[in-house]
Amino acid sequence: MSGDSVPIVLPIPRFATDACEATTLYRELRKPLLRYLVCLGLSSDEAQDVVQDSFLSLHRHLSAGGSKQNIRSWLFRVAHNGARNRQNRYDRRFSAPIDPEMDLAADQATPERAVLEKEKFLRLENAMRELPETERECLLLRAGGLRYREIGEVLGIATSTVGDTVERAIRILAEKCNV
Amino acid sequence: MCEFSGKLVALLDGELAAGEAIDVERHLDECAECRNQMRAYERLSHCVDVYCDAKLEAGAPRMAAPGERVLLGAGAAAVVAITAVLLMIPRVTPPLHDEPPTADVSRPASLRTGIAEIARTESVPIRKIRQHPAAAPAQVREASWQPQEPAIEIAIPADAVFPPGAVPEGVSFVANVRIAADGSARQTFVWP
Repeated sequence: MSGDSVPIVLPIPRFATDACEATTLYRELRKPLLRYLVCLGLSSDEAQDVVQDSFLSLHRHLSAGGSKQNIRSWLFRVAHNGARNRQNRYDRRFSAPIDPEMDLAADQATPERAVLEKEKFLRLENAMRELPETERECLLLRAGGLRYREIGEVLGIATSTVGDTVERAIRILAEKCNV
Repeated sequence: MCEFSGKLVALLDGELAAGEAIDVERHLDECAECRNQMRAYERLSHCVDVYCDAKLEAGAPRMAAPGERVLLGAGAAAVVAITAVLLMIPRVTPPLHDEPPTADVSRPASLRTGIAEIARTESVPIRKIRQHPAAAPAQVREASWQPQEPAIEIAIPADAVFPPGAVPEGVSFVANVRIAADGSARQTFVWP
């Protein structure tokens, strides 16, 4: 080792601020992101991988001085694209029949009620599977708490189109599921 | 079909402009069909929420393992951990020189430019962090000995700090960083 040294300045305060923001977003959005990805058809492992990659991308984005505006939709878009990159598996998984062992209504008061609830969920699952992809994605992003504007940013469509798409999807599901 | 029925979901989602929302709400007071439709949409929205939760829960055993949680949090949490360690340590191993040299003419100009550029604009990606007690004196310590100043080592890839081609492959660097009370890097020295 030579005795030469070169002074450099590491932007630690900015790094700390960005890290705090990333942590807050992680706490707030990890579960909605996982939920969205699993409902898109990714396995739990795949969803966790995509969420982790998305937050690493967020860290890089913030570290590079990227915009903090619309960061929720930015994060969902990254995760959505991550899921798209696994398109083959995603399509196969969502088209597969629902897991018969999936305990959708374990906490129902009576066995009869549990069976009814399970049937309702199966109808909903089937109806959602039959929806066009954009309608399904709009619906799942809406369930994730995103506003129409944010959904539009994630999917790259106009806000007015999101409104029409969500309305259509809800109407179709309500008819098919007879809720 | 009622002319307002296409706006019920938007009303439910709070996506209508204030004036429009008032019109639809007034209409709901008068139209039983739309009220029923609105309730159906509310129930369906709740069902979709519960359905999404159930889908997530179906994969929960894998997620619930403690080791998994650690791995899952590694991405964002590692960032926080690194930051916390950096900020909690009042001072790192003291530099070998009290003052940085004013200029380092022995280094190529591109190297100095690269350092300045990185320092100005970009944070440096940190690949690995390892914390250990400061080097202890050779003699036997007392039972009540406590580490005085924890040192921190950060492995930074050379290509993240210096311009491409400025550093030959296989050459690594050692850095000493002095952290000020506000968390900023007061002085940083880098040696090849």
